[in-house]
Amino acid sequence: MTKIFLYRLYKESKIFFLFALIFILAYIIVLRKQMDMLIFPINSMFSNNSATDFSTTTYAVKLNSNIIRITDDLYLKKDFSENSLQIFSKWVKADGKDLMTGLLERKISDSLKRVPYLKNLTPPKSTLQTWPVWFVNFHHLQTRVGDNIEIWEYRFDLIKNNFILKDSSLITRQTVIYE
Amino acid sequence: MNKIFMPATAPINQYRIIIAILFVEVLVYLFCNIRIAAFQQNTFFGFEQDPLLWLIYFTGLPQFIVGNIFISYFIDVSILLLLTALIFKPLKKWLALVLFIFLFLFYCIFTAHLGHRNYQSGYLLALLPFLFVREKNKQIVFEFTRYFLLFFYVSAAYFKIKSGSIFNPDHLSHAVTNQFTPYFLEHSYSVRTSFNLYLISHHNFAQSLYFGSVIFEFIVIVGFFTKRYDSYLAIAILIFHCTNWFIMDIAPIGQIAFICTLFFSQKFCWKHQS
Repeated sequence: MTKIFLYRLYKESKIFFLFALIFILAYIIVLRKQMDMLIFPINSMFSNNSATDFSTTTYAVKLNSNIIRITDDLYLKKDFSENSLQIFSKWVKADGKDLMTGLLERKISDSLKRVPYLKNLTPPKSTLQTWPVWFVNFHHLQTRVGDNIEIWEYRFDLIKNNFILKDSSLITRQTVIYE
Repeated sequence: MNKIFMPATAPINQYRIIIAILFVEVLVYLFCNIRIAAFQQNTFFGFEQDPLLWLIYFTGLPQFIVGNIFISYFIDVSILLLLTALIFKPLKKWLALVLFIFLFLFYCIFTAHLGHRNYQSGYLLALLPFLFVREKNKQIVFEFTRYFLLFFYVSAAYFKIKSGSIFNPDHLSHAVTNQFTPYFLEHSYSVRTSFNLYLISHHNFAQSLYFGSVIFEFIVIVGFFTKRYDSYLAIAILIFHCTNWFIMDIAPIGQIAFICTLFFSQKFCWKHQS
Protein backbone atom coordinates (compact mmCIF):
# COMPACT_ATOMS: atom_id res chain seq x y z
CA MET A 1 0.00 0.00 0.00
CA THR A 2 2.78 2.44 0.95
CA LYS A 3 4.28 1.99 -2.53
CA ILE A 4 1.15 3.13 -4.37
CA PHE A 5 1.80 6.57 -5.82
CA LEU A 6 -1.58 8.09 -4.99
CA TYR A 7 -1.40 6.82 -1.43
CA ARG A 8 2.05 8.32 -0.94
CA LEU A 9 0.83 11.51 -2.55
CA TYR A 10 -2.14 11.66 -0.19
CA LYS A 11 0.15 11.23 2.82
CA GLU A 12 2.66 13.79 1.61
CA SER A 13 0.68 16.59 -0.02
CA LYS A 14 -3.09 16.96 -0.03
CA ILE A 15 -2.89 19.64 -2.73
CA PHE A 16 -0.92 17.46 -5.14
CA PHE A 17 -3.21 14.54 -4.34
CA LEU A 18 -6.31 16.62 -5.08
CA PHE A 19 -4.81 17.84 -8.33
CA ALA A 20 -3.92 14.27 -9.35
CA LEU A 21 -7.40 13.07 -8.48
CA ILE A 22 -9.11 15.84 -10.47
CA PHE A 23 -6.78 15.17 -13.39
CA ILE A 24 -7.55 11.45 -13.39
CA LEU A 25 -11.31 12.02 -13.10
CA ALA A 26 -11.23 14.61 -15.89
CA TYR A 27 -9.21 12.20 -18.03
CA ILE A 28 -11.80 9.46 -17.50
CA ILE A 29 -14.60 11.84 -18.58
CA VAL A 30 -12.63 12.97 -21.65
CA LEU A 31 -11.89 9.36 -22.62
CA ARG A 32 -15.57 8.51 -22.36
CA LYS A 33 -16.49 11.56 -24.47
CA GLN A 34 -13.71 10.74 -26.95
CA MET A 35 -12.42 14.32 -26.89
CA ASP A 36 -8.78 14.25 -27.89
CA MET A 37 -7.18 17.16 -26.05
CA LEU A 38 -3.65 18.39 -25.47
CA ILE A 39 -3.64 17.61 -21.75
CA PHE A 40 -5.83 14.55 -22.17
CA PRO A 41 -4.59 12.91 -25.36
CA ILE A 42 -6.37 9.85 -26.71
CA ASN A 43 -3.61 7.86 -28.32
CA SER A 44 -5.81 5.78 -30.59
CA MET A 45 -3.88 6.40 -33.79
CA PHE A 46 -4.21 3.53 -36.27
CA SER A 47 -6.50 1.59 -33.99
CA ASN A 48 -9.46 2.21 -36.30
CA ASN A 49 -9.52 1.96 -40.04
CA SER A 50 -12.53 2.31 -42.29
CA ALA A 51 -10.68 1.81 -45.59
CA THR A 52 -11.96 -1.01 -47.74
CA ASP A 53 -9.70 -0.64 -50.77
CA PHE A 54 -6.16 0.42 -51.54
CA SER A 55 -6.82 3.72 -53.26
CA THR A 56 -5.25 6.83 -51.80
CA THR A 57 -5.32 10.59 -52.22
CA THR A 58 -2.79 13.36 -51.84
CA TYR A 59 -2.52 17.05 -52.61
CA ALA A 60 0.16 19.20 -54.20
CA VAL A 61 0.83 22.86 -54.85
CA LYS A 62 1.97 23.88 -58.32
CA LEU A 63 3.81 27.12 -59.01
CA ASN A 64 3.55 27.95 -62.71
CA SER A 65 2.63 24.31 -63.46
CA ASN A 66 5.59 22.88 -61.53
CA ILE A 67 4.88 20.81 -58.43
CA ILE A 68 6.54 22.16 -55.31
CA ARG A 69 8.31 19.09 -54.00
CA ILE A 70 7.86 18.44 -50.31
CA THR A 71 9.40 14.99 -49.93
CA ASP A 72 12.93 16.39 -50.35
CA ASP A 73 12.40 18.52 -47.26
CA LEU A 74 13.46 17.55 -43.77
CA TYR A 75 10.87 15.41 -41.99
CA LEU A 76 9.03 18.05 -39.94
CA LYS A 77 8.75 20.48 -42.84
CA LYS A 78 7.50 17.73 -45.15
CA ASP A 79 5.04 16.55 -42.52
CA PHE A 80 3.74 20.06 -41.87
CA SER A 81 3.44 20.82 -45.60
CA GLU A 82 1.60 17.58 -46.30
CA ASN A 83 -0.84 17.83 -43.42
CA SER A 84 -1.65 21.52 -43.55
CA LEU A 85 -2.05 21.31 -47.35
CA GLN A 86 -4.47 18.44 -46.92
CA ILE A 87 -6.52 20.28 -44.28
CA PHE A 88 -6.50 23.50 -46.34
CA SER A 89 -7.63 21.64 -49.49
CA LYS A 90 -10.49 20.01 -47.61
CA TRP A 91 -11.45 23.41 -46.20
CA VAL A 92 -11.54 24.88 -49.73
CA LYS A 93 -13.54 21.92 -51.03
CA ALA A 94 -16.01 22.37 -48.16
CA ASP A 95 -16.49 26.01 -49.19
CA GLY A 96 -14.61 27.41 -46.19
CA LYS A 97 -16.40 25.30 -43.61
CA ASP A 98 -14.73 23.19 -40.98
CA LEU A 99 -15.48 21.48 -37.70
CA MET A 100 -15.63 24.77 -35.84
CA THR A 101 -17.99 26.43 -38.34
CA GLY A 102 -20.42 23.55 -38.06
CA LEU A 103 -20.15 23.45 -34.29
CA LEU A 104 -20.81 27.19 -33.93
CA GLU A 105 -23.78 27.00 -36.30
CA ARG A 106 -25.29 24.24 -34.19
CA LYS A 107 -24.59 25.85 -30.82
CA ILE A 108 -25.29 29.53 -31.59
CA SER A 109 -28.37 30.01 -33.72
CA ASP A 110 -28.15 33.82 -33.72
CA SER A 111 -25.82 34.66 -36.59
CA LEU A 112 -24.91 38.04 -35.06
CA LYS A 113 -23.82 36.46 -31.79
CA ARG A 114 -21.79 33.97 -33.77
CA VAL A 115 -19.61 36.63 -35.41
CA PRO A 116 -16.98 37.14 -32.64
CA TYR A 117 -16.54 33.40 -32.33
CA LEU A 118 -16.20 32.93 -36.07
CA LYS A 119 -13.72 35.81 -36.18
CA ASN A 120 -11.32 34.20 -33.74
CA LEU A 121 -11.96 30.52 -34.30
CA THR A 122 -12.12 30.25 -38.07
CA PRO A 123 -9.73 31.46 -40.77
CA PRO A 124 -10.62 34.74 -42.51
CA LYS A 125 -12.05 34.51 -46.03
CA SER A 126 -8.91 36.13 -47.48
CA THR A 127 -7.03 32.95 -46.54
CA LEU A 128 -8.16 31.41 -49.81
CA GLN A 129 -5.92 33.90 -51.65
CA THR A 130 -3.11 34.31 -49.12
CA TRP A 131 -2.41 30.75 -47.99
CA PRO A 132 -1.15 29.38 -51.33
CA VAL A 133 1.27 32.32 -51.54
CA TRP A 134 2.41 31.62 -47.98
CA PHE A 135 2.94 27.96 -48.88
CA VAL A 136 5.19 28.93 -51.79
CA ASN A 137 7.19 31.32 -49.61
CA PHE A 138 7.42 28.70 -46.86
CA HIS A 139 9.37 26.62 -49.35
CA HIS A 140 11.73 29.54 -49.99
CA LEU A 141 10.37 30.19 -53.46
CA GLN A 142 9.72 33.72 -54.61
CA THR A 143 6.48 34.76 -56.23
CA ARG A 144 6.14 37.44 -58.88
CA VAL A 145 3.12 39.30 -60.17
CA GLY A 146 1.33 37.07 -62.67
CA ASP A 147 2.57 33.79 -61.23
CA ASN A 148 -0.01 31.01 -61.11
CA ILE A 149 -0.39 28.95 -57.98
CA GLU A 150 -2.62 25.91 -58.15
CA ILE A 151 -3.60 23.26 -55.67
CA TRP A 152 -4.34 19.82 -57.08
CA GLU A 153 -5.78 16.66 -55.70
CA TYR A 154 -4.32 13.38 -56.96
CA ARG A 155 -5.93 9.98 -56.61
CA PHE A 156 -3.96 6.77 -56.84
CA ASP A 157 -4.99 3.15 -57.28
CA LEU A 158 -2.91 0.17 -56.34
CA ILE A 159 -2.33 -1.80 -59.53
CA LYS A 160 0.16 -4.66 -59.77
CA ASN A 161 1.76 -3.75 -56.47
CA ASN A 162 2.38 -0.15 -57.40
CA PHE A 163 0.49 3.10 -56.98
CA ILE A 164 -0.73 4.34 -60.34
CA LEU A 165 -2.18 7.81 -60.79
CA LYS A 166 -5.88 7.37 -61.45
CA ASP A 167 -6.97 10.97 -61.89
CA SER A 168 -6.45 14.50 -60.62
CA SER A 169 -8.56 17.58 -60.11
CA LEU A 170 -7.91 21.25 -59.57
CA ILE A 171 -8.89 22.47 -56.09
CA THR A 172 -8.09 26.15 -56.46
CA ARG A 173 -6.05 28.50 -58.61
CA GLN A 174 -4.57 31.87 -57.69
CA THR A 175 -2.79 34.44 -59.76
CA VAL A 176 -0.32 36.52 -57.79
CA ILE A 177 -1.33 40.17 -58.02
CA TYR A 178 1.25 41.69 -55.69
CA GLU A 179 4.79 40.87 -54.60
CA MET B 1 2.20 6.95 10.30
CA ASN B 2 5.69 8.33 9.95
CA LYS B 3 6.72 10.25 6.90
CA ILE B 4 8.11 7.73 4.51
CA PHE B 5 9.72 10.21 2.18
CA MET B 6 13.17 11.60 2.28
CA PRO B 7 14.55 14.60 0.47
CA ALA B 8 17.17 13.98 -2.17
CA THR B 9 19.84 16.08 -3.76
CA ALA B 10 19.04 17.26 -7.24
CA PRO B 11 20.53 15.16 -10.04
CA ILE B 12 21.73 18.29 -11.83
CA ASN B 13 23.67 16.56 -14.58
CA GLN B 14 20.76 14.30 -15.47
CA TYR B 15 18.49 17.35 -15.59
CA ARG B 16 20.97 18.95 -17.95
CA ILE B 17 20.93 15.92 -20.23
CA ILE B 18 17.12 16.09 -20.54
CA ILE B 19 17.20 19.82 -21.27
CA ALA B 20 20.01 19.28 -23.78
CA ILE B 21 17.94 16.66 -25.63
CA LEU B 22 15.05 19.13 -25.60
CA PHE B 23 17.37 21.77 -27.02
CA VAL B 24 18.36 19.46 -29.89
CA GLU B 25 14.70 18.69 -30.60
CA VAL B 26 13.87 22.39 -30.75
CA LEU B 27 16.85 22.92 -33.07
CA VAL B 28 15.44 20.25 -35.39
CA TYR B 29 12.14 22.15 -35.45
CA LEU B 30 13.96 25.36 -36.35
CA PHE B 31 16.08 23.71 -39.06
CA CYS B 32 12.84 22.37 -40.55
CA ASN B 33 11.49 25.92 -40.66
CA ILE B 34 8.86 25.05 -38.06
CA ARG B 35 8.93 28.20 -35.95
CA ILE B 36 6.41 30.89 -35.11
CA ALA B 37 8.00 33.46 -37.41
CA ALA B 38 7.57 31.07 -40.35
CA PHE B 39 3.78 31.25 -39.88
CA GLN B 40 3.70 34.95 -40.77
CA GLN B 41 1.03 35.56 -43.46
CA ASN B 42 -0.36 32.08 -42.76
CA THR B 43 -3.91 32.87 -41.74
CA PHE B 44 -5.17 29.33 -42.14
CA PHE B 45 -5.73 27.30 -39.02
CA GLY B 46 -8.05 24.54 -37.96
CA PHE B 47 -9.01 22.70 -34.83
CA GLU B 48 -10.06 19.29 -33.76
CA GLN B 49 -12.04 18.62 -30.61
CA ASP B 50 -9.79 20.43 -28.16
CA PRO B 51 -11.68 23.06 -26.12
CA LEU B 52 -8.41 24.20 -24.55
CA LEU B 53 -7.08 25.17 -27.96
CA TRP B 54 -10.40 26.84 -28.83
CA LEU B 55 -10.20 28.90 -25.65
CA ILE B 56 -6.65 30.03 -26.35
CA TYR B 57 -7.51 31.02 -29.91
CA PHE B 58 -10.66 32.77 -28.75
CA THR B 59 -8.47 35.18 -26.78
CA GLY B 60 -6.84 36.19 -30.06
CA LEU B 61 -3.38 35.89 -28.54
CA PRO B 62 -1.96 33.30 -30.98
CA GLN B 63 -3.25 35.31 -33.95
CA PHE B 64 -1.68 38.46 -32.49
CA ILE B 65 1.67 36.72 -32.02
CA VAL B 66 1.69 35.25 -35.52
CA GLY B 67 0.66 38.61 -36.96
CA ASN B 68 3.57 40.42 -35.31
CA ILE B 69 6.96 39.66 -36.82
CA PHE B 70 8.87 41.16 -33.89
CA ILE B 71 7.08 39.09 -31.24
CA SER B 72 7.30 35.95 -33.39
CA TYR B 73 11.07 36.24 -33.70
CA PHE B 74 11.36 37.22 -30.05
CA ILE B 75 9.63 34.00 -28.94
CA ASP B 76 11.59 31.82 -31.38
CA VAL B 77 14.92 33.21 -30.24
CA SER B 78 13.89 33.27 -26.58
CA ILE B 79 13.07 29.56 -26.66
CA LEU B 80 16.61 28.78 -27.76
CA LEU B 81 18.20 31.18 -25.29
CA LEU B 82 16.09 29.95 -22.40
CA LEU B 83 16.92 26.34 -23.19
CA THR B 84 20.61 27.23 -23.27
CA ALA B 85 20.32 29.04 -19.95
CA LEU B 86 18.40 26.14 -18.43
CA ILE B 87 21.17 23.70 -19.38
CA PHE B 88 23.52 25.75 -17.22
CA LYS B 89 20.98 26.56 -14.50
CA PRO B 90 18.45 23.70 -14.48
CA LEU B 91 17.11 24.64 -11.05
CA LYS B 92 16.03 28.16 -12.03
CA LYS B 93 12.26 27.95 -11.88
CA TRP B 94 11.52 31.21 -13.65
CA LEU B 95 13.61 30.17 -16.67
CA ALA B 96 11.59 26.98 -16.93
CA LEU B 97 8.33 28.85 -16.43
CA VAL B 98 8.92 31.39 -19.21
CA LEU B 99 10.21 28.63 -21.47
CA PHE B 100 7.14 26.52 -20.74
CA ILE B 101 4.80 29.40 -21.61
CA PHE B 102 6.62 30.07 -24.89
CA LEU B 103 6.72 26.39 -25.82
CA PHE B 104 3.06 26.05 -24.94
CA LEU B 105 2.20 28.97 -27.24
CA PHE B 106 4.39 27.42 -29.92
CA TYR B 107 2.59 24.09 -29.52
CA CYS B 108 -0.85 25.72 -29.81
CA ILE B 109 0.12 27.76 -32.87
CA PHE B 110 1.85 24.82 -34.52
CA THR B 111 -1.09 22.47 -33.87
CA ALA B 112 -3.66 24.98 -35.12
CA HIS B 113 -1.74 25.71 -38.32
CA LEU B 114 -1.14 22.00 -38.82
CA GLY B 115 -4.91 21.53 -38.55
CA HIS B 116 -4.90 18.37 -36.47
CA ARG B 117 -3.65 17.02 -33.17
CA ASN B 118 0.06 16.63 -32.79
CA TYR B 119 0.96 13.85 -30.40
CA GLN B 120 4.60 14.81 -30.03
CA SER B 121 3.93 17.14 -27.12
CA GLY B 122 6.50 15.57 -24.81
CA TYR B 123 8.61 18.72 -24.80
CA LEU B 124 5.93 20.35 -22.65
CA LEU B 125 5.56 17.42 -20.28
CA ALA B 126 9.32 16.97 -19.88
CA LEU B 127 9.49 20.57 -18.68
CA LEU B 128 6.70 20.32 -16.11
CA PRO B 129 8.86 19.19 -13.16
CA PHE B 130 11.27 22.06 -13.75
CA LEU B 131 8.48 24.47 -12.86
CA PHE B 132 8.86 23.51 -9.21
CA VAL B 133 11.55 24.79 -6.88
CA ARG B 134 11.58 22.22 -4.10
CA GLU B 135 13.35 19.05 -5.05
CA LYS B 136 10.65 16.89 -3.53
CA ASN B 137 7.93 18.62 -5.54
CA LYS B 138 10.01 18.14 -8.66
CA GLN B 139 10.22 14.44 -7.88
CA ILE B 140 6.49 14.18 -7.32
CA VAL B 141 5.77 15.82 -10.67
CA PHE B 142 8.40 13.69 -12.41
CA GLU B 143 6.69 10.60 -11.08
CA PHE B 144 3.30 11.92 -12.12
CA THR B 145 4.51 12.63 -15.67
CA ARG B 146 6.14 9.19 -15.71
CA TYR B 147 2.77 7.57 -15.07
CA PHE B 148 1.26 9.80 -17.73
CA LEU B 149 3.91 8.60 -20.20
CA LEU B 150 3.27 4.97 -19.30
CA PHE B 151 -0.48 5.44 -19.67
CA PHE B 152 -0.04 7.20 -23.03
CA TYR B 153 1.65 4.14 -24.55
CA VAL B 154 -0.29 1.43 -22.76
CA SER B 155 -3.56 3.09 -23.79
CA ALA B 156 -2.42 2.97 -27.43
CA ALA B 157 -2.14 -0.80 -27.12
CA TYR B 158 -5.49 -0.95 -25.30
CA PHE B 159 -7.29 0.97 -28.09
CA LYS B 160 -5.82 -1.34 -30.73
CA ILE B 161 -7.02 -4.39 -28.84
CA LYS B 162 -10.41 -2.87 -27.97
CA SER B 163 -11.16 -1.85 -31.57
CA GLY B 164 -10.35 -5.36 -32.75
CA SER B 165 -7.89 -4.06 -35.32
CA ILE B 166 -5.23 -6.34 -33.89
CA PHE B 167 -7.33 -9.29 -35.02
CA ASN B 168 -8.03 -7.93 -38.50
CA PRO B 169 -5.45 -9.46 -40.86
CA ASP B 170 -5.80 -6.61 -43.38
CA HIS B 171 -5.60 -3.77 -40.89
CA LEU B 172 -2.02 -2.56 -41.23
CA SER B 173 -2.00 -3.06 -44.99
CA HIS B 174 -4.89 -0.62 -45.19
CA ALA B 175 -3.46 1.72 -42.56
CA VAL B 176 -0.16 2.20 -44.38
CA THR B 177 -1.79 2.86 -47.74
CA ASN B 178 -1.96 6.62 -47.20
CA GLN B 179 1.35 7.08 -45.44
CA PHE B 180 3.70 7.56 -48.40
CA THR B 181 1.42 8.94 -51.11
CA PRO B 182 3.35 12.23 -51.62
CA TYR B 183 6.50 10.17 -52.18
CA PHE B 184 4.76 8.23 -54.95
CA LEU B 185 3.42 11.44 -56.48
CA GLU B 186 6.90 12.98 -56.57
CA HIS B 187 8.59 9.70 -57.61
CA SER B 188 10.70 9.99 -54.50
CA TYR B 189 11.35 6.28 -54.11
CA SER B 190 13.41 4.70 -51.37
CA VAL B 191 13.64 1.53 -49.33
CA ARG B 192 10.77 2.89 -47.22
CA THR B 193 8.40 3.25 -50.20
CA SER B 194 9.36 -0.25 -51.37
CA PHE B 195 8.67 -1.59 -47.91
CA ASN B 196 5.38 0.31 -47.87
CA LEU B 197 4.29 -1.49 -51.04
CA TYR B 198 5.49 -4.77 -49.59
CA LEU B 199 3.36 -4.28 -46.48
CA ILE B 200 0.31 -3.40 -48.56
CA SER B 201 0.58 -6.62 -50.54
CA HIS B 202 1.68 -8.93 -47.71
CA HIS B 203 -1.13 -8.68 -45.20
CA ASN B 204 -0.02 -11.41 -42.81
CA PHE B 205 3.49 -10.04 -42.50
CA ALA B 206 2.13 -6.51 -42.06
CA GLN B 207 -0.25 -7.66 -39.38
CA SER B 208 2.51 -9.49 -37.53
CA LEU B 209 4.37 -6.16 -37.36
CA TYR B 210 1.22 -4.50 -36.07
CA PHE B 211 0.94 -7.21 -33.46
CA GLY B 212 4.56 -6.59 -32.52
CA SER B 213 3.91 -2.86 -32.13
CA VAL B 214 1.03 -3.62 -29.76
CA ILE B 215 3.36 -5.80 -27.69
CA PHE B 216 5.97 -3.02 -27.59
CA GLU B 217 3.31 -0.59 -26.39
CA PHE B 218 1.66 -2.98 -23.99
CA ILE B 219 4.94 -4.05 -22.38
CA VAL B 220 5.15 -0.54 -20.95
CA ILE B 221 2.54 -1.66 -18.41
CA VAL B 222 5.44 -3.18 -16.45
CA GLY B 223 6.36 0.38 -15.47
CA PHE B 224 3.22 0.65 -13.36
CA PHE B 225 4.59 -1.99 -11.00
CA THR B 226 8.31 -1.28 -10.90
CA LYS B 227 10.84 1.32 -11.99
CA ARG B 228 13.57 -1.30 -12.27
CA TYR B 229 13.08 -1.80 -16.01
CA ASP B 230 12.45 1.81 -17.00
CA SER B 231 15.61 2.00 -19.13
CA TYR B 232 14.47 -1.03 -21.11
CA LEU B 233 11.00 0.47 -21.46
CA ALA B 234 12.54 3.68 -22.79
CA ILE B 235 14.52 1.64 -25.33
CA ALA B 236 11.37 -0.31 -26.30
CA ILE B 237 9.44 2.94 -26.84
CA LEU B 238 12.28 4.46 -28.87
CA ILE B 239 12.50 1.32 -31.03
CA PHE B 240 8.73 1.49 -31.49
CA HIS B 241 9.05 5.11 -32.68
CA CYS B 242 11.95 4.32 -35.01
CA THR B 243 9.97 1.58 -36.70
CA ASN B 244 6.99 3.93 -36.74
CA TRP B 245 9.08 6.41 -38.74
CA PHE B 246 10.27 3.68 -41.10
CA ILE B 247 6.84 2.16 -41.69
CA MET B 248 4.41 5.05 -41.14
CA ASP B 249 6.62 8.10 -41.77
CA ILE B 250 5.83 9.46 -38.31
CA ALA B 251 8.85 10.63 -36.33
CA PRO B 252 8.83 11.29 -32.57
CA ILE B 253 10.58 14.67 -32.71
CA GLY B 254 9.30 16.58 -29.72
CA GLN B 255 8.76 13.42 -27.70
CA ILE B 256 12.31 12.10 -27.26
CA ALA B 257 13.37 14.15 -24.21
CA PHE B 258 10.21 13.09 -22.42
CA ILE B 259 10.81 9.40 -23.19
CA CYS B 260 14.44 9.75 -22.08
CA THR B 261 13.34 10.82 -18.60
CA LEU B 262 12.66 7.09 -18.10
CA PHE B 263 16.43 6.47 -18.23
CA PHE B 264 16.77 8.55 -15.07
CA SER B 265 13.58 7.64 -13.26
CA GLN B 266 15.50 6.15 -10.32
CA LYS B 267 17.08 9.55 -9.76
CA PHE B 268 14.20 11.77 -10.84
CA CYS B 269 11.29 10.10 -9.17
CA TRP B 270 10.18 10.19 -5.64
CA LYS B 271 12.50 8.45 -3.15
CA HIS B 272 11.01 6.66 -0.22
CA GLN B 273 12.34 4.53 2.58
CA SER B 274 10.94 1.07 2.89
